[in-house]
Amino acid sequence: MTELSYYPGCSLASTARENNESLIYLFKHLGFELIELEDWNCCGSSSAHSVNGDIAFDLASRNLSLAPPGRPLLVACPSCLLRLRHAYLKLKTDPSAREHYERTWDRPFDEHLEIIHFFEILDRLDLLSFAKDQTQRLNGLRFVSYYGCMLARPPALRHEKNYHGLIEKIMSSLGATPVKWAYSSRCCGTFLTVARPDIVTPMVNEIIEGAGQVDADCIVTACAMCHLNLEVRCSLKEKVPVLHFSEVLSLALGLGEKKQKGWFSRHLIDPRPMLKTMHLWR
Amino acid sequence: MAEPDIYNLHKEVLHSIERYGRTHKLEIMMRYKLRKKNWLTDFTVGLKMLAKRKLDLLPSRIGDIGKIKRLFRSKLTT
Repeated sequence: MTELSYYPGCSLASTARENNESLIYLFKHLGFELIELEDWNCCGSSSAHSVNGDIAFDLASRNLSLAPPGRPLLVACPSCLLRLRHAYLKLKTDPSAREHYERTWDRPFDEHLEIIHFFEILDRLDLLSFAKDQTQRLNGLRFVSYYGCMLARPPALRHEKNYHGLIEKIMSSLGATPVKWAYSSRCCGTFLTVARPDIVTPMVNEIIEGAGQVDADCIVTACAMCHLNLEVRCSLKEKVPVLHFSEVLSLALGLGEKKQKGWFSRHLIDPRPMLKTMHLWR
Repeated sequence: MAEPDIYNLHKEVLHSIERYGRTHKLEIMMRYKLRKKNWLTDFTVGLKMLAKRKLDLLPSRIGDIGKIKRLFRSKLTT
């Protein structure tokens, strides 16, 4: 079992607990133990980033200071990943930021710390070889991938990896059929969902309608915040289920149905009728 | 200010981080609504989220909250 430090972030620890549990469960099956970063704090999210850059940097850098050396830090939430990588890049390139960090957290900055998104691990593996009976369980499932915009790289991170296309590649290897659509990187409205639902609702409806128009059985997303917005703000009569990538991979590998029950019951758009039709759920 | 509601929401998020080290979404929503004096909008959404256990009643706090509070105090944010 390979050990990885793990930063869940506030969304996965609360609103998207099903994402967190399915990810930990999936990774255990793949041979990785995710060790939660002890006493982690909020990465600052969009709010600190929007209101006070210094606070945003300090909040993210405290988490980096908690990571034990010699173990990569795995992050699942694309928004948290951006914040942590931004802080890391600043620490690597700005001596005064590093001095501030070492004075504030009373420990040296680990410039060898590897911050990885969970996609990077999945990309290195042949997932079908981990499937029960090596069966392509997702045969017949038509899906659209939804990356949102947090996995797109802002200018400062332009040299970082690009993950687009990975959901399609992995899901196809497990038998599913990717369907082309126009909304894979369309913004879900992010934090505007609370203050401006009047803007976010039509944005979300357009995305869900887009999935319906190409006859997708489901939308697969890697972003917990996008997932929540798509479920909460959709006001259409005809809805398309939205699955976390970690959930659908667990289904594809034939992992414990008992645990999955607890994940899918938390969805606001119930995916179980669709999964039953696709023989992925009993 | 063009969008005071958005700014007020950010302030509530930061208040939550300062208090607990993490965001407590239910409290953020309640405080935001109190500030805006608008309880009815999203009432049904909130109930649905509670029913699906997507909103925790109690906050998750970090152990070393003193360090976070000091950070905020030194930056005079909220």
